[in-house]
Amino acid sequence: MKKRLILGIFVIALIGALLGVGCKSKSSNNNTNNNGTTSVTLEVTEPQDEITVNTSTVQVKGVTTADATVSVNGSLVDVGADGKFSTTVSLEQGPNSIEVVASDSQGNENSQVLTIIYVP
Amino acid sequence: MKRILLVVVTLALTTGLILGTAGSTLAAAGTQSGRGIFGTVQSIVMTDNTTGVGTVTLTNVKPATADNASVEIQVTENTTYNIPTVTVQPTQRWQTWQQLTPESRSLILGAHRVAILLTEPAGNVAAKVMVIPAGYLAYRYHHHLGVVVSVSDNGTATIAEKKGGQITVTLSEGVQLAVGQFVVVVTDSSGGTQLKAIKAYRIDKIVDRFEGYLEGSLTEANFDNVTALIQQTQQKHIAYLQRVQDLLQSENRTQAAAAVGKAIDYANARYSEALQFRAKIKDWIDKNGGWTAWQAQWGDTSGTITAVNTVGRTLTISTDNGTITVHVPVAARIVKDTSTGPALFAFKSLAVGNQLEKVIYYKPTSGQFQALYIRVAE
Repeated sequence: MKKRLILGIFVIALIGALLGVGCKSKSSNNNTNNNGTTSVTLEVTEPQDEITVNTSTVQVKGVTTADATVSVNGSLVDVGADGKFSTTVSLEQGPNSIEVVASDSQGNENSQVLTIIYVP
Repeated sequence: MKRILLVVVTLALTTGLILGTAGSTLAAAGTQSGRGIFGTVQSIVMTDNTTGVGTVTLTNVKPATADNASVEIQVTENTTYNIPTVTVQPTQRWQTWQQLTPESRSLILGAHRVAILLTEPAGNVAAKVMVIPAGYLAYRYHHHLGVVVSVSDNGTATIAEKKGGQITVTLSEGVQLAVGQFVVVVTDSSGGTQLKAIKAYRIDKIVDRFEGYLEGSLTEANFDNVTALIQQTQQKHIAYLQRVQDLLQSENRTQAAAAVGKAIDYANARYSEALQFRAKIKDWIDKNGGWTAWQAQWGDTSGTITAVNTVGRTLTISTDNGTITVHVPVAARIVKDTSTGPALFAFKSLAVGNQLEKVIYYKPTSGQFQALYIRVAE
């Protein structure tokens, strides 16, 4: 009985540890560039990737570091003192690619690409 | 008897369910001009490789199928394709199979995941197929932080970056660079062998932004945070520039090193101005009754536009506390609520009768109120 209890606790702890490692590796992806060096943080909060919308524009919102320069599909976007940014992107009918790039005062860069389908 | 009744009821329910589902599908078909689908490419088989007639088989489909089954999509000679980092304007963003180069065709045949617009909501014929970029094709736009070390007459500029590297970019229309500028250049890597500089953001614009943060700080904590941000960024920028200059000097690239020296002087001067501006604000706060007095300089109201002066860029607003007139500088942020959230709005689009949910403005000791933020009701 005691052995089973210990085994159960061990299995739960193992699952927890695996989940923890999974979450950790996911969050650190945002801060690491292709060279493996620390990069500028970039989190695009809206829109979701791979969604279909029925409006011809979409709000792109996110957060980065306060000293960052941000572009959305090549156009520069204002960044607030809190690192938040927001802009509107026009969509054409069908699949659209939205590329958000942030770079910091050390020249580090981080990018995210979202794909959205606009069906009027 | 009871069994017969049960069977009849079951049949009636099933029929109703089928009709209801069909009705919903038809209703959806009536309001939409197609359907969007994302999926991982299992195979692309072109039965006619000349015209582009074939079948794309997708797995891991979004929206998911009932049993996560694979989906077959028909591509025709009218289906158009786009690889965001390859097929771009002005050549043609969307190309039929016949228009695609052999290289582009092979990229499509090797695609990992695609986004497809179907011609009809209930059909399986593709109108448009976009390759979701991956690997070396994933990113089209890049930022390059560096110093302009040369600009040529044929419309190219060379930028010295960290680690002593340099890139030469073709300047797109409207992009002007001068030797000695410390810039973030946004490049487009698609559609050619040489990077195109499509935007150039001078570093002093970042300092302008920080000065705006100082002005907008309504608490001492925010003010101190922005001050720290300015000082830290100055240190990072100057360290970056010095690193580039040292590397250029070690390689005897004297002209380029001199250009970086010019950038260091300019950056230091601009940051000093920002810190002087910060001292000026702090001095004002200390002499005029502290943060409460500073906060009192800023107004916050709502109301209805009663007049718009497009020449002088002023708005007259009827509020609960009377009428005020505010000047709207070009840098003021104007947003309008939409169904998808606030969207940027142009001054020229403002009209008499517009309801303004929020107007934040600066109240100088003399002169006009200056609007910083205007939110227009939907």
